[in-house]
Amino acid sequence: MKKITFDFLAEMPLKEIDKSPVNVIGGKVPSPGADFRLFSDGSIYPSQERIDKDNLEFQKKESGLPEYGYDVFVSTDWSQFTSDVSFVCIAKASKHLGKVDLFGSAKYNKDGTPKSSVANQKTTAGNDLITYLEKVYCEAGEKLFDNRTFVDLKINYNSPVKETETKIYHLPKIIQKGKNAGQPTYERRESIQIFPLEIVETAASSSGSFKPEHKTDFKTEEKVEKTEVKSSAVPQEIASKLFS
Amino acid sequence: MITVGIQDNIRLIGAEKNEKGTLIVKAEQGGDGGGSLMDMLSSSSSATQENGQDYYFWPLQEDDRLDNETDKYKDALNKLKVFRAQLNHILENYMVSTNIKWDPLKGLGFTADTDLINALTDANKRQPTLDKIYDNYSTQFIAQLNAGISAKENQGKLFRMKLPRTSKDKHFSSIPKFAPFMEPMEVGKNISKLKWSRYELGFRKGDNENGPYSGLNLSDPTPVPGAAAKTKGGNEQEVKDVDELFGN
Repeated sequence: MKKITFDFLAEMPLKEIDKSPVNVIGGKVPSPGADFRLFSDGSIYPSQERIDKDNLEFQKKESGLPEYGYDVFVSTDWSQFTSDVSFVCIAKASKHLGKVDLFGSAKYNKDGTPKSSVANQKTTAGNDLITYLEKVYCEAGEKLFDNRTFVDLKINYNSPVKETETKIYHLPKIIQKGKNAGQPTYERRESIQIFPLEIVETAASSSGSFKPEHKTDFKTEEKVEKTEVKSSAVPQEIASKLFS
Repeated sequence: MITVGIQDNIRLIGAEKNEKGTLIVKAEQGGDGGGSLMDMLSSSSSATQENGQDYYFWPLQEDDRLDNETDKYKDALNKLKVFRAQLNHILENYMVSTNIKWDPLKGLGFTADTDLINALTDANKRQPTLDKIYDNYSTQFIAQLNAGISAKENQGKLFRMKLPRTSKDKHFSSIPKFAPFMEPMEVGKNISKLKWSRYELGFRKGDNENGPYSGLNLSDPTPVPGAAAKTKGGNEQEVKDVDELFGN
């Protein structure tokens, strides 16, 4: 009979299953002052402040309660945009509209209640956003997640895009399914407000080489506790010229 | 006239009813997109000017081919829905949807939700009800469209429109029943939603994917020789010639 002595167990390290970025440093909660935390796998989580102020939480089906998500797109992909300044735009949109990019859909239980809170929902909805952020804010060859697992994002409410006179918007979208997947299209929106979405660099997320430098000449910097905002905000004077 | 096709730079001039109460939307084409000489020579009376066109929205008729009241009721209700959606789509190019107001049952004296159902299932009341609702929609559409067109923010606004041919025999353009058929020119052509469906291109079950298709190609602006005579009561031989040409 083979006799096993188990003394080694006290010293032996166990192999851990690779964890998703969600479980690493920082968790899902955005830094103070930030609105979203975006991970390299496309998962994205809103701050509690955004959930409360923008009614992001999923509601019971057919409850009639307001529930919103966001459209995100690059300014220069938008045919109504009259400047060549490229930045990422974000606009709140009812979840009941078509092709809402972030927090637009959920899975539901049989009784019509959502299976998870928007604060914890596992999603890859941020993948297109990663592409947009890299396209706009990264230098050639630079990746958004070089040596980091997440970035925090902030809506710049100080620089809204001027609204159209008709309050009708045709926002750029990408077809997600079917034989035309990947091709550009658009969705109509009404009476929305569009803001720049900027990257917030935090101590936890800035351990790598990535520096959110921008092709625009944005200068604004703002300190939010320990959070440094490398601002990608559209200067007010540019915003005021839009649609003029 | 405005040629069949997906046309850029269309401007709606206004809407009105003719003496028979038929809703007409007047449009014209800006830029160099006007009709060809052939179009002008073979133009119907609906063409108002060289680059203009009147689009008729014909009154809603109950379908006599249906043989029971339930089907006739469903058909009538569907026609109302399609008509309303068609008008809504046009108006939404000028205003936000919350500004579009309808009162389709105005003047019908209905007091209960079931009154409309009862009227549309009653053989004697169905057509008069359809006529009244058509008239209400038309009147309210005219007021809203004309106000939208003349609003400061919409003046001179140009659109891209999908305009299929009217029928096999008539090559004049028409406004489709189903949206999307209209979008502002500020929408880039590369992301346009105005496309011909395979059905509209004539594809029918059993056809080879690559064509030729056996159905009517609604994107084809080609005039049919002799068709004008046919539609205006042309001689029998001409009608036969046209039918043979198109394999009927």
